[in-house]
This record gives sequence, structure tokens and C-alpha cells, in this order.
Amino acid sequence: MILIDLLQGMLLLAGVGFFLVGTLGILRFPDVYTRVHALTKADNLGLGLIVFGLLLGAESVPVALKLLLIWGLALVASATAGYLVARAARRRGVKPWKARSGGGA
Amino acid sequence: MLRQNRLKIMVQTGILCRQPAVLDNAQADWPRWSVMAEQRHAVDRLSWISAYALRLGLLLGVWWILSGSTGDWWFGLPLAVFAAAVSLWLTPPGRFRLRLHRMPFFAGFFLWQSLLAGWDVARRTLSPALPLRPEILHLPVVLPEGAPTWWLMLVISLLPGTLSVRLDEERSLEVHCLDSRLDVPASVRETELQIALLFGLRISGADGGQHS
Repeated sequence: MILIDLLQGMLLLAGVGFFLVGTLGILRFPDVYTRVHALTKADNLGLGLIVFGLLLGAESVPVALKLLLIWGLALVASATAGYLVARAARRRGVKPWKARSGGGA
Repeated sequence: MLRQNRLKIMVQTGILCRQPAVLDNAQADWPRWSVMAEQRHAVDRLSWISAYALRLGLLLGVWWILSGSTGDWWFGLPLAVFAAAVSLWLTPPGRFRLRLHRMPFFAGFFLWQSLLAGWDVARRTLSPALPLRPEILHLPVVLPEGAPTWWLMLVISLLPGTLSVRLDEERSLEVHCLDSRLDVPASVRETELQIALLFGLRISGADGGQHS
């Protein structure tokens, strides 16, 4: 039992960590396209880890299925929203940020 | 063996697609052509009634989950009947059907890729040097229009380093990549193959000669 609790705690913490990183990505990344990358992918994984963590403690099948349903809907929503934001930026003529060639890195 | 053939062909198309100059008329057309043949077959099979039954079943399942199996069916049942009708009105039955037995494979592929994607983006965010080298790629889509293309565009946005930006009239997908050093065309091809398998489509041109 304690092993399951431990695993659950680790999954939840890791999930929160990825959410945090996603938010940090919004602050650090240079333009709208790269920020959408950070947000969709890190949050998708973060929510997934949290859902799996909670699944370990789910009391009944409907609760477990509800958690999976939430994750599925959030996946579809974030992918759709990410695409819409990117497309809107593209239509407005937002130029993607370019790394300076040969610089720094 | 058939599966291997498909894989081989997909890899070949992938190579073709990386050089847009090569991809015109005949060479580009055959994979799409054999997909079309499969499509027509599917239209006959999937009628409105079965689509309605399927969606009703799905919505009832969702209600069962949402209501925590307490079963307030006096509310849920009419709602599901109505919602299924509305969904048919908004999205008429497609020509494509998910192959449920392929779902576990696809889920495995998707979960693994999501893990890589989240890890990749976290690594880039946390690295002090902020290793980004974004670029825009234009990749031709081999999958047929409709549900498979939508799946592709959504899934791509959740894969490592890729984001769907736009699909133009010539069915070329504009993809924003985080890092030009990643082999994005190859991973998009792989995703297309996975989705084709999920929908039971044959993108293979192995027997394309017989059709023409």
C-alpha cells in the first residue's frame, strides 16, 4: 500500500512540475508559436501524470473513467486551441521568431 | 508482410515528401488513389442509422461516467437521444471508421510521444541557453480529407517539437517546429502511418498497379 502511495505522490508531483515548466515556458519562449508549443505539450503531460496519479487512488470504475475522460477532453481542447491560436497568428502575419544564425549556442 | 510493405512504402513517400520538387503529378498521386478506393467502400457500409446508434451508445456511456453510475436516466437518456441527433446534424456520418482493435497500439504510440514531447519542451525551457531553432515546414498530407486529417493535425500539435499551423488548399500542412535539427518530416510520416492504420486505411501502393 505504501508503495502505491509513494508512486501516487511522485506522479502528482511530477505532473505539477510539468505544469510549472509549461508556465515558465510562456515567460521564457520568444514568440507566440513557441509559447503554444510549451503550453500544449507540457500541460498535456502534466495533466496526464496527475490523472494517472489519481487513477491509482480511484475508488470506483466510473470515477476512473471520469478522470480519463477529463484528460481526453483536455487533450482535444488544448490541441485544438493551440492550432487555432497558431493559425490566427499566422493569418495576422506574425513572423516566427528566428534564432540568430551562428550566434551564442 | 503486408504491414511491412506498407511501412516500406510510407518510408518511401516520406523520402519523396522531403523534396517537394520531386513530389508532383503521377508519383504523388498513387498513394492517395488507393486511399480513395478504400473510402468508397466504407461509405456504403456506414449508414446513418448505425452512426446514430454508435453516437447514442457513446453518449450514454459518457452520461453513465458523468453521473457516477447513480443512474439519473430520466434526464440522461432524453439528453443523449437529443445530443446524438444534434451531433449527426452538425457532423454527418463520416466515411471513416476507427478500428477499435487498433486503438491500443495507437494509444501506446501517442502516450510515448506525449511523454517525449513534454520532456523535450521541459528540457528546452529549463536550459539556460534556451536551445530553440524554430522553422516552418510545408509537408504534403497523404491521408484523405476528413477525420483522418483532423486527427493528424491535432496529434501533430502534441508530438515533440511540432505544431500544426495551417492546411492549405493543396493539402500541404504548415508545421511550426521548435528545432530544425529534429527530423520532423519523418515523425509526421510515422504519425500519418499510425493514423492510417487506426482508420484501417491502406496508404500502400503495393497493389496500386492493379487499380490503374
